[in-house]
Amino acid sequence: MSNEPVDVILLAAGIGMRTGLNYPKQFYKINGKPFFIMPLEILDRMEEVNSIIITCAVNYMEEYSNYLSHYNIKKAVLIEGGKTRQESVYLALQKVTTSRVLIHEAARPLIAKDFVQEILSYKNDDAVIPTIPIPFTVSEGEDYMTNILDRKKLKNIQLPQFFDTKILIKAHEDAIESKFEATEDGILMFRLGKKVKFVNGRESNIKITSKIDIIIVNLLINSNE
Amino acid sequence: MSDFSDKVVIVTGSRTGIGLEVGLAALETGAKVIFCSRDIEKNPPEMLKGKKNYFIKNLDVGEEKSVTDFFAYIEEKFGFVSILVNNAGYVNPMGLLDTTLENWNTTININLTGTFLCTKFAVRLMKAKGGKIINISSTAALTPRPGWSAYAAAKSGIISFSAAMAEELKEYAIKIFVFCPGRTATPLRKILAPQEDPSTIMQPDAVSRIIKMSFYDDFDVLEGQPIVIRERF
Repeated sequence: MSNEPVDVILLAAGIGMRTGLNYPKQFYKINGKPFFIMPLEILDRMEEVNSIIITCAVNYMEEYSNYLSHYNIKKAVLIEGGKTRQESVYLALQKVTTSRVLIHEAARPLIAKDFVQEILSYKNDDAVIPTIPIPFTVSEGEDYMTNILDRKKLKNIQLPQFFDTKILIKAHEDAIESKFEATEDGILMFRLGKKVKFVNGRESNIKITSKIDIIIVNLLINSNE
Repeated sequence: MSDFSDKVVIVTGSRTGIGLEVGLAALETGAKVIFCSRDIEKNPPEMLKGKKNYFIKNLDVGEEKSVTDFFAYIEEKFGFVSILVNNAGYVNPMGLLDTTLENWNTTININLTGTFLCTKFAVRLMKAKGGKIINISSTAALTPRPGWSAYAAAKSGIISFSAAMAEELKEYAIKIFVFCPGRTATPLRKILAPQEDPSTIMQPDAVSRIIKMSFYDDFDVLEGQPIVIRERF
């Protein structure tokens, strides 16, 4: 397998209702910097990265563009996101020119270069997904418990994820045809019958979905750890 | 001694005085050095004659357009910056009641706003590889004297700005140094204190040799805090 640089899709089109902000959460500033810039700065500097296709919230294209200019992010290409996460990925896949593609989301700003490199080293798997164990007890049910799940058998799935581009496009087209909607792309690959490789994720790779996540990410960034 | 042949060093306000000497000291390292001031292209320093690896470019640090044009030139020609020395300065000492708003604004603009603007646009070209930003404050920031309030405010602003930058830019491996030279025998000093014998005070090349030390990693322990360069009283 070659050492060809890969295109990256950065999902940044979310509105972030659960954070309680009146603007897309990716523009929220931590230490004065919109947090969607943080993973971009890491990825933009990596020679393993070809271009970064950013899916954007439609009404904020100018803001994304201004921030990219201010932070001198050179490899980024902006596209309008779709109505759903899955549609955004599919639209971005049309712009990918490399045989493999890395998918990340702006809501996980704390990626490290060595973490990304580790994921990119799995070049022979169709789908590579970082996961971390689930440390708490989980069950099913609405008002009452209906089923007990064995947490030892469960994985918390993270991004960035690494795929064979052509197969991922096929997985998306298959999902579109059967009107199947997934919350991430490993599921689509699994559904297509492909092997989905689990690799170690990182606990610090937090996804910002609520106000408390913003507080935790702030603390981690400023902890000097 | 480290090899600086792949480094790009910018020294603002380097047509004369401390800036010129810092630029010359940077040339000794083998780095490519950009000398700049408002009118340096028309009046290049005589001392550059016979030197290699230097470039001269007009730059008015207090004018954003001039700063953005300058760094567009740097980006096109070199693609990055290794070391920025924010040296350009201005002072026209006046007592408070004589200090016009224009004098105040110019002093703040050249000394403090110029440092901010050049830092901002240099960091865009520095953050991929890391680098050093060396800010020239003054002992006037630490021991202000009557008649120098605007200058003291601007130069102490540089100290606070430097401390903030040291924290903010560490994620890019950019180190910030801030020097506070005392009385130095520069052309500006000659105007400000015409009765003073220049040979009795610090010489610009003595100051520049100390500033040059900060180009090297051994100096990094002194990052982010005022470093006083002053002769013994």
